Amino acid sequence: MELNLRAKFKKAGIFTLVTVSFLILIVFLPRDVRGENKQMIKMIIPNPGAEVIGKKPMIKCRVAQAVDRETLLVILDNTDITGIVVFTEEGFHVKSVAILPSGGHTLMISGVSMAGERFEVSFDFSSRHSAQFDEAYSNNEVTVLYDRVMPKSDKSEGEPDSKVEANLTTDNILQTNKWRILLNSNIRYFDQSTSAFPPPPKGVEIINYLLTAKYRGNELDFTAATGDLQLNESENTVAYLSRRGGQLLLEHKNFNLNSFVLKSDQIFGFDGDLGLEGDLDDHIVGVSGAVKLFSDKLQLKTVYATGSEPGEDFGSWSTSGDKKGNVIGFIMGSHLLDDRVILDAELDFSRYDSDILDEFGSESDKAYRIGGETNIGNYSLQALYRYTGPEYQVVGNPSIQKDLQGISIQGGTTRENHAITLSFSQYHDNVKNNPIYSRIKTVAFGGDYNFMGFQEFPMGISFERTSLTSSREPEFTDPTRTYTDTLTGHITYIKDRLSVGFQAGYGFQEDRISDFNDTTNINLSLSPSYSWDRLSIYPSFSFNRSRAHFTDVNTDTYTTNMSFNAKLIPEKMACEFSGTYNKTTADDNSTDMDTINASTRISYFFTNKFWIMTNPAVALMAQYNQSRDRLFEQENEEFRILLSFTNNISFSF
Amino acid sequence: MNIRPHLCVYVSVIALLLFISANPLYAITISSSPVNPTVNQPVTLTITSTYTVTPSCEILVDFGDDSGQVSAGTCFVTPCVQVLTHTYTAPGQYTILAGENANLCRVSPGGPNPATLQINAQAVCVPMSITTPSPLPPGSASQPYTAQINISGGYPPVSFFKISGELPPGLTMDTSGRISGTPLSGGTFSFTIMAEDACPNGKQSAQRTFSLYISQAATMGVTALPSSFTIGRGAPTTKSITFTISSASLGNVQLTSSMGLFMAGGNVVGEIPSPINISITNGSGKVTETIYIPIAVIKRTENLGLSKFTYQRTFSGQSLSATARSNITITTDAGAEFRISGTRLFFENNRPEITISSNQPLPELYAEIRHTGTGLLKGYWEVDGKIFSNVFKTISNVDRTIITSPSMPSFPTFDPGTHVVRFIITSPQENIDFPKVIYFVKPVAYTKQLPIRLVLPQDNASLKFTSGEFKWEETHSVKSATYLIEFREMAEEKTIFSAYVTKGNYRLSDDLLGRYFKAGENYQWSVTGFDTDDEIYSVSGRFSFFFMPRNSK
Repeated sequence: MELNLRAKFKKAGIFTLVTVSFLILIVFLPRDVRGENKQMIKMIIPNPGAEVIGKKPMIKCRVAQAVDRETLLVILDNTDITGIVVFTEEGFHVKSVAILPSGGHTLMISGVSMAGERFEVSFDFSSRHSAQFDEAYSNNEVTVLYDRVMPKSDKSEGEPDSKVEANLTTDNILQTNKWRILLNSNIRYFDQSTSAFPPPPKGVEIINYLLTAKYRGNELDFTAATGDLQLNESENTVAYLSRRGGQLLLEHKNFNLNSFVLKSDQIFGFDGDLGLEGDLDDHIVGVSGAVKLFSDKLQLKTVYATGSEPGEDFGSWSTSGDKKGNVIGFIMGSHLLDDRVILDAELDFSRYDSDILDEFGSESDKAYRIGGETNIGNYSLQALYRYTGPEYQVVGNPSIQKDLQGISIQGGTTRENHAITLSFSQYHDNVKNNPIYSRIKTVAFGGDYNFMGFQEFPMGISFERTSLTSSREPEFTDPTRTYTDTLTGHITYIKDRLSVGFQAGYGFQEDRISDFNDTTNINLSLSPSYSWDRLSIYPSFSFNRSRAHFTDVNTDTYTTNMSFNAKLIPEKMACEFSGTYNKTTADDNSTDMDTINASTRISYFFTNKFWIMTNPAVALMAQYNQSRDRLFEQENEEFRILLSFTNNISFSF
Repeated sequence: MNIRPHLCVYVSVIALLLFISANPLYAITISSSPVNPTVNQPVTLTITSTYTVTPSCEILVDFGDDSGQVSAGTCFVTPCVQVLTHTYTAPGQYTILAGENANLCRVSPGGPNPATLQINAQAVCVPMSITTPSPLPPGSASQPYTAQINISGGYPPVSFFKISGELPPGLTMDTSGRISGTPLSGGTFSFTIMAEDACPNGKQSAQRTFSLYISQAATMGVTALPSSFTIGRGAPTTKSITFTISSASLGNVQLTSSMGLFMAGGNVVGEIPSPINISITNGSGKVTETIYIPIAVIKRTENLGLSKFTYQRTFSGQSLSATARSNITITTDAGAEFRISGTRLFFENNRPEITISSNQPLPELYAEIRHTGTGLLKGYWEVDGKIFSNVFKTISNVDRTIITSPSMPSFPTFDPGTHVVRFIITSPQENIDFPKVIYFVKPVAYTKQLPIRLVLPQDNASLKFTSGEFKWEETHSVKSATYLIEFREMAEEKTIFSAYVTKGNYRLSDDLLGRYFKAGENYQWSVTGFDTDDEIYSVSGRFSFFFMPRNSK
């Protein structure tokens, strides 16, 4: 009882103390934070609370008393715009440099009056880009290219005599109070005098597009998108999957639900459909749901995806055939201690048929990983433990390394002139102890050091040693003992417009069971560059020597690149060049060949408009290619001159 | 008076003749042609039977040898002529009998019945010679061989004997003159064969010396290279195997293998049903086959509890066949040979195509290379079919390697239009259909953003948590009209605070520090310059800095 009374008195005391403090604060509060400051500075355009139509609205303020300009601070939506304020007799005005996003804005003004009074006021207003839409614009750009091979050129098989390429790039946004619709696309026309080896095909093709509709409601937000999408759910499920298809994302408070359907094939062009039609034999379909808890510090997520994928498509090749499968993943991510510690964990189960044509069906397996990352001051540390079963594979994610178990750790620190990173990892395969196979352990450790003490000479060095050693070898199976050392270093000299970079790399691989695979590799490259308003020149020289120890053969490769861009007459005439010389020799006389490829273009830009051609240009282009094989005494040489007309038209509304 | 008896005789003779012509003699006659036949040659017998009335009578003939009676047919007319042939196989006197079959003869012919004919069959022996030339057709050791010795003339049966020399070991000759068997060894053999007939007049013989060349045993060696290799269990594999055939006994021929087999522990775990031919020139030839080892072959081998299998092909032709094998060991992917199992090219947008403006630096292009094992990767970037830059990289990690496109200089972007890029791998050598990506250069001048150099504070500086100045500079002649300095938290893209200024410096006041920053945190800063049209004109990189805790010195 006594204790309760004490507690009540204690509570009452605290309440009294807070109340008194509040009153003192009100009474003795400096005038600068009280309401009359708004009388001292008034925002007259736009009126406080008003809605203004425009992309870069003018803001005008009237100042009733003289203000010490040195103390004036004008902040619009967390951007200090004091530096571009224009002072007038009655006050100041300012106009945004960048387009002001539509929506609500806050203008905060603070400073000290000439009377020594500190003040701070803020005004709210909103903006939209047009009367009908909060934001509306359509940027379009049409480009046309016509190339014609000139007489005296060498005839080369398959090379067209003439070529036409036209491209429309369109970028559109419409936004109302709750809707935001975006469309961007590239549409292209291609034709040439010889048959084309697609891609690209002849004719008109929608190269890429993305149509997105976003709705922001009071309780529910959703985003619907169709076109060329990129999805990233988690590392072991759908990761950076880029395909044609559709997506629907629903968000309600701290929940979100995402569903998608994508074509299995990576395609070039429109290819006849939106990627939404069809079945699981040629699509990847998935859904994910996530919830954020504890002020977004913890996120729980579940992903399910199913479908098929081809062995190869546009941009990829593999030895595999058509595959199908499904995966379900449970992901947890959390940010702790003011984001100083980030934890990430994932548990996934997959069923996967690596070849739908054989008699074997889908196989089930699992994968999991748990990782942590912390950044404290100048120090950072990352650690990851992961397990991936030998049959764990996921449609649309060929980057997963299966049959793996182990840990990796990376830590580093950054000082004023030094940055160092150390890494260590140890993994092994054959995670299910299949007795017919060895178990191979991969251990890698390395370091990376950069020194910035000399501002004109940034430099760095890195080293890594990797070893592959086997254990539990079955009978009649050779062990594995492979060690690889790599060492690279770089130093650059930077002075005004000049930069000279030098890089060196050394790699040595030793197979201690058989010297058949032993190799040494040395790379040296020098990359000077000079960049000025009217001239940029980038030569580079590189040398490589690779040595096969078993055959005792050195193979040397010399490569020289040259690239320059010169504005002969500003805005009128430009000259560009790109060339490569490449020579490869082997000291057992098995290889002795070199190639020269060079192309140059001299362009003249007309400043006058012709008919609808707003930016016409004519260019003369020369191409020279030579390849020589001294061993087989073969030599090919070709020279072409092309006349090129280009034009581009941009229109926005 | 004497005249009357003569007249009577004449009249009687004439009457007899008339009687005879009007009523012939009823009889069977036999004639032979030739009169005395030759043994083993046919003799034609003519049987003529006459009857008083229209007959129906079967005539039987006995040739006098052991062949028994035969029917010459049934006579329905008179005279009835029947012709038969017969061959006597032995010389001698033979009595031919021709007479009615009493059971099948309604009207009997006149006598004699049966009629007889004596003939003398004579033997004729034609001179005999061996017609098969020497040398006999050549043979090969270990290959079946047959030859026939032929004669002309002679009196059968003719028997053949080897009278001198030796037949090749493994060959024998029967009495019909047929040499057969499988020679056991090669060489040139000489032997004399005699043929002897059975002429009744006295046996005839002929002989000839033959030579016969038997080549050495036709052997065919087939090798497969590589004779052994390892593959990873995680992905299908392609591998080129070269079959080399050499044989001293083969000239210019074509050998065929109808199919290739994957064998594990005596079980067929897969097959490649494509036939391949190999042309043998002067006893040798080679052919290279790129085989595809599907994941199913690996799984079937695993299911047998094995990690090794073979790929084999049997080549045959010219009655020869030989099998070559390549031994394949399955390992985990890390332990397998360095081999490419997949490649993928993509830009920063994770797609294999991108559209840029003229002279715009091409965004980084990545070649993701999936592989088994480790080793030295050799390759080059190719733009529009031309080598642009080489790549040599010692691959030490397992499974996957990312190669980034060159940055200094990067791929040319001054030529408008479509450009095709590939990453060509030259080692390890694989049968790869190298994928390509496309970058399209619009003939629109890229507004190159000039560099802004951040001066103070230096990158990665540690700052006291008090007001301080940030400085930068532009080295180009025409400077920006306005600058935007932006501050971000580390690893975050969102700007936490920014400021517009018209000079090359900005002072972060204590007031702003308190509003937007925290001590003990890392931040990044960068600057963007705008021209008088408010277009972006110049940009800086990003520098990092650290606000030291308040109590630190």
